[in-house]
Amino acid sequence: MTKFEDEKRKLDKQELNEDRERLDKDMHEKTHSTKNDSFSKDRTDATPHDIDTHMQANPGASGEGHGAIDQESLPRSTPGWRILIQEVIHDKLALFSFIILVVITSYVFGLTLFLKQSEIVFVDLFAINEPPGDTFRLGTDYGGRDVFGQLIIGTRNSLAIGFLVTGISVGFGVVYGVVAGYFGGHIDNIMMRIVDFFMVLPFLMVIIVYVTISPDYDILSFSLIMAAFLWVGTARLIRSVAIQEKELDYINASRTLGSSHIKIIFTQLLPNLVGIIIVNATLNLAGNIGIESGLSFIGFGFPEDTPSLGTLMSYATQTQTLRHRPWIWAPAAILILVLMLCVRNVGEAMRRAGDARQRNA
Amino acid sequence: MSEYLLEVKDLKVHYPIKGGFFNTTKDYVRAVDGVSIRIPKGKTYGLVGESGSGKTTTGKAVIGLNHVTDGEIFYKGEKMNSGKKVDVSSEIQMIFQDPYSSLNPRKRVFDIVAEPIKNYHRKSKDDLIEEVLGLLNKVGLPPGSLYKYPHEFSGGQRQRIGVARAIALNPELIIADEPVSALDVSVQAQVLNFMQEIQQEMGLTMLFIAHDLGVVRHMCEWIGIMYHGRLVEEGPAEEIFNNPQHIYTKRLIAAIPDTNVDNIERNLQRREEVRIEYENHFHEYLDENGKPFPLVSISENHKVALPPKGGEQVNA
Amino acid sequence: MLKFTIRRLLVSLPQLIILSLLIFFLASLMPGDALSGVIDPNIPAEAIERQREMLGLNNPWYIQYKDWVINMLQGDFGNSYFKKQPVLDVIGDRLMNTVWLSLFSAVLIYLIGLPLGLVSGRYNDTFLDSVITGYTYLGFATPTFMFGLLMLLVFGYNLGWFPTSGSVDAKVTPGTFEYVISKMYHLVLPAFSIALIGLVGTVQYLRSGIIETKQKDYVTLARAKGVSESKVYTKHIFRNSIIPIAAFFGYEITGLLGGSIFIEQIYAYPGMGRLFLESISTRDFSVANVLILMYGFLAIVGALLSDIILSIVDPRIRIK
Repeated sequence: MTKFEDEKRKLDKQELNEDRERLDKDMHEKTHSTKNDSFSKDRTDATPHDIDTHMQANPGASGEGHGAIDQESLPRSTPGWRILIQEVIHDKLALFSFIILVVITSYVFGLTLFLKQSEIVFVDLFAINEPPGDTFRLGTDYGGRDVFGQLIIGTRNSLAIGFLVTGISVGFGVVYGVVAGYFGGHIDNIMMRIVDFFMVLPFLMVIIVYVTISPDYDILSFSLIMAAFLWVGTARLIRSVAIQEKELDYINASRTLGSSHIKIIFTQLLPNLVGIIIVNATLNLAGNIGIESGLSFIGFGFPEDTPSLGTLMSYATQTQTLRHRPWIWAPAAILILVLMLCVRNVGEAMRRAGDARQRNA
Repeated sequence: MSEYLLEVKDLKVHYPIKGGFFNTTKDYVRAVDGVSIRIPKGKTYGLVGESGSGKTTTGKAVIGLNHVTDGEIFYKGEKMNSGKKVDVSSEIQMIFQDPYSSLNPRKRVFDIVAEPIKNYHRKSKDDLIEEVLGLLNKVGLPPGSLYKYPHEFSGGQRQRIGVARAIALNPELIIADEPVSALDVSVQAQVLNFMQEIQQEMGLTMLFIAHDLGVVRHMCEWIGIMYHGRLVEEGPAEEIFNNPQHIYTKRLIAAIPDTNVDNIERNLQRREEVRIEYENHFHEYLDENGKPFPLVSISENHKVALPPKGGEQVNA
Repeated sequence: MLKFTIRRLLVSLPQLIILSLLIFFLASLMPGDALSGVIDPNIPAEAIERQREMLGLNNPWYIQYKDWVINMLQGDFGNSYFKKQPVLDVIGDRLMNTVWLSLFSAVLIYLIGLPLGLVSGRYNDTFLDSVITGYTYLGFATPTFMFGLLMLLVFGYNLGWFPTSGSVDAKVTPGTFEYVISKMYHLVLPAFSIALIGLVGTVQYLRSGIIETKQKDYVTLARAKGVSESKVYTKHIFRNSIIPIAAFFGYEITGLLGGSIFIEQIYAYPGMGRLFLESISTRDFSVANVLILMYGFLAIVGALLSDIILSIVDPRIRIK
């Protein structure tokens, strides 16, 4: 994990170079308007001039020195997380992937406003296993249900559950990991033993059992049970990063300035982990969509009246469907592949953003 | 009410060494092992020693960043530590060694300097900005720095931000942990002078931790020299520099570079003498655990960790 | 070394206890109990109640738990509700089938993954590297079950090269050479389906490990001393980059065991994963419980194995 720390340092350094030119200009203008002549010198070699600045900066005149400044016009700098997003925009493949994701997401969520789930999953025995044609754009399945409609609703359900599981598991994992890492000692020890235990649980089986014995489950409870097992990876990652970060003096400084532990964790430590959290969440999103579709595929995800992409895939377990009716499962397979590829592309691009800076610096 | 702003009595900070089959405590690292310091109000006390001598640990213990194994810390005559914990006080602040890691890279200068004020006072945003701008002016940074991030500043300027944050609460005692050792030599003097100005202006008392004797001579009225978690010599700065008694102090002072070219021969010869004396007699100044002996007063203010008996012979 | 292993074992013990407790309570949530597996539905209710009392099913939970654990330690895992025979007999061959599948997949993963990672890391940013990296990208994005389905369709049905279900040909007699060959033949498609997707992690780890190690000062030093380029890679770079992968071995195996559930389903391969799904759909929870316990136990052993391997290859761990 030291690598990440390095990356971040390098990142900062690079940022410095990029901003320097603009900064010099800012400083120039600002110093003229505030009559603080000592700072009108070039800041890039600020060090030699440091001494006369403090000689001339007259503390007594402080009131008048800043009173006249229009606070709105003070220069502002780009926050660190925005660099990450800028990097993704520069990466053509990642940008393309991101646009596809946005298009698919808004399309399925938009369209499902007009589609009725009950109509789509309505069994029509007169239109069983029809190949794509005029009435059914992508054909029908063994129950005569419209594949296209199922695809749209399935994508929506898969995405929704992916976002939900990722949100819950990453959110909990981050808090858990950062608390364990920050406090260390016995607290960390106990918390990590719990994580170790979750690591060895055969979570797929437990979820399958839950789905079987629980009489009524919906998207939320299904997401919760998945998230209950999927937070541990994030917790471990965040803990190891937090352990390094908390050794830095700015955390000590906050302590001496009277900030509480909770405040330090959430306002000082966490903002420095945002980059790694975003990357982790993105990669987890892809993984979670895969896990959910896998579970639906073997028939332990959602019931058939709430199709997901995995439900459409599961029709392919019948040999006849697999061999002779690809229109039922192939679109879902392609969509899963496209979604996972796009999400991963965006995540990897963000991770590479750090790597590239490391190499350049 | 004593005349000393800060009094540290027999401070001990020990860390357990874990090991063995059940991960039990085998032994302790005695990072600080019985250090007593008194700092008069408005003065600067320099704590000097090599890496690992426990000087930073002492400073951090005083401000509450380290637990205290044993000993007492009094601030304005009030005991600051109960058990292992040391209270955090708005009147004691710290300037950190590394101006890079001590400023949160994700926070703007305004957030950094305003953090302590927000912790202790309720203020409107405008008042806060006003106050932070005042502090920036005081440490010689332009108002344009307000919404910038730490990485946009040089090391010296970052240390100024650190000072602005430390003085934001109008503290009385500042613990400066090697505040210039991470800076270019050319900037060191500037920051030191500026710190002295701030100190005079605000009437600050300072515990100045350093390994550079030249810096300490420039800054401090009192000096304590640490070795392996204990003080080996303590006294007024001039006394220590002109009349060092402990062999370790002597060697340190002999090692201070001299820019006068004419003295090269004399310095080399003197250093050689001290080196020989040090190598032959240094072990006599340590007890069986390799620790310095307790301090003994040799004049009104001057204390030295001389061997319990026969010290005079060694000294001669 | 021995000390580390023993201490690590002591950590696993409470894990095992908590796991068994968890499964015990999970079992109590499931419908059915030990009697469902052995008795005739025509027996009157009082008789069943007497039987329950005799079997200790009305005891408080901790006594039941104790009996359950003691029985298991003596090799008695209860009876299948559905098949009316001891759970161990039901699991029997299924366990071995899954172990073979996982081992075969693991061998493939390392056999294919390590060279790919090595090449990709050594010649990074070449055309070959982009091909391999592109493959890992696709591999990461493809769920195993989808890839397995595709393999089944192409090589099983369309080309007809490999069998599409089962673990062995029904006509061959156990113990003969043909039997072993038939088993291997049935393993090829499922194992490749698992391995070709499973190896992308190994490739990516090794690649980034090698690229990182390449820039280390001791590698530069080795080159400066005149060590030949191939020796630099075999003696210095590969050895250090392989550490995390070696340490991951135990987790890899348990991951394969657990992950084979999809592939076993697709290829109708009679392994533990398929048995688990069967027992769930027939509501044969006594079998399902033992299977979960087994998977959990294997995962604990896998984690243990990984840590011990890590302590062998990386001496720094032991000191801690």
